[in-house]
Amino acid sequence: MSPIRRLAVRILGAVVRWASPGCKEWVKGLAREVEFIGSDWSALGWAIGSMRVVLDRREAPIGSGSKPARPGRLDVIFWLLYLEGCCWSCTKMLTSTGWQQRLGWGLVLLACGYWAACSVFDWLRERWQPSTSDLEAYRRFLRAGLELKLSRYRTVRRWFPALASLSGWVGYLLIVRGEVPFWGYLMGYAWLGLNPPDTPAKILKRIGEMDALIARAERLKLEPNGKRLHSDHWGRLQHRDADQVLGSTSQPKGA
Amino acid sequence: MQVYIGRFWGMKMRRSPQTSLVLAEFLGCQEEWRYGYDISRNTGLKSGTLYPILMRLAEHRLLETSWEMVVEGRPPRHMYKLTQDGLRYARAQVAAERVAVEGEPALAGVGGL
Repeated sequence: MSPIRRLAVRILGAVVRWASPGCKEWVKGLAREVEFIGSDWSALGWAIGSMRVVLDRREAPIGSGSKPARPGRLDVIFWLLYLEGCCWSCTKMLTSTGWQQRLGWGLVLLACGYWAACSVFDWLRERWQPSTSDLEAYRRFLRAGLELKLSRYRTVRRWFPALASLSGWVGYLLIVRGEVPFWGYLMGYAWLGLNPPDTPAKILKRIGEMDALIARAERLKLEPNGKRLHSDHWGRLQHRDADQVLGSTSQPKGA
Repeated sequence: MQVYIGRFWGMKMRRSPQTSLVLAEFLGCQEEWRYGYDISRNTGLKSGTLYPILMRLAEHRLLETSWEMVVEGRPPRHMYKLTQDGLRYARAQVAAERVAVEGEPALAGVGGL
C-alpha cells in the first residue's frame, strides 16, 4: 500500500471514529469505498472530502443502524440454568409415580418455562437497544421499555410473574411434601428481595424521572457537542460538559 | 419511539441542486443498487457533500440501504437504492428543478421524464 493510500485509510479511520452515532454506519460505508478507488490520489481526495461528515451531528434512530448485541455471558448462564431446570422437571414429572410429585414437578416446569421465555423475550427486545454513547436515544429506549411494562400492568399479564413464582413455590412444597429446609426459606426470601414487585406508581415515577432527564438534555442542546455556556460566579463564561451539568446521568435511574 | 422518529418525518427535504443531481443519478438506473463512489464520480460531488444528502434521503424513507453480500477476497460495500416513495419524489424533484433552474428540459430522458 502506497503512503498516499495509507494516509487516506488513516483519515477515514479517524472520520469513522469521530462520526456521530447517527452517521457511523454511513461513514463505515464511505470508508469501505476507498478500497474500490483505483487511483491513490483519488482515494486521498475521497478521504479528505469525507472529513466534512464529522461535522454532521446526528443521533442514532432507535432500532436502526445498530447491530443486535450478542447475548452476554450471564444471559447464557441463566438460559442454560432454565433449560436444565425445564429438562430436569420434565423428566421428573414423567417418571414420578404419585400424583402429588407429578403435579409438583409440573408446576416447577411451568415456572421454569415462564422465566426462560421471559428471559429470551427480554433479550430479543433489548438487543436492539441504541448505544449508550447516544444518551438521548438510550433514555428514550428505556422510557419505551417502562411504557411497555406499564401497559402490561393494565392487563392480566401483570399477575403472570407472581403466578409463576407461586407455581414454582407450590410445586416445590408438593415435591418435598411440605418439609421445607431452612435454606429453602432463605432462598425464597432472597428471591423476593432480588425481584421486588413493581407497582404502576413506581413505574410512573421512573417514567417521570426519565422525562425530566430527556427534557433537560433537550435544553442542553443549545451548544454543539453536548456543551453549553455557563458563567462562573465572577461572570466569566465557561464550557462544561452536559454530563457535569446533569449530574451522574451516564446510567439513568431505572435502567 | 414514534415521537423520536417523527421528528425526522416532520422535517422537509431541503431542495438543492446537489440533491437534484443525486436524485437524477438514481433515476438513471432505478432498479439497481448503487455504490457511493460511483454516484460521486458520476455527479462530481465530493464524499462530504454526497453522504449527508444520502443520509437525509434515508431519514425521509426515500432511500434504502444495504450491505453487499460478502464475496471472497472483497470487502462488503454499502449500497443505495431509491424506495417507491423516493422514486416518486425524485421524478417530481427533477422535473421541478428542470423548470425552475434550467428553464428547459435539461434533464429530459432521465428516468422516463
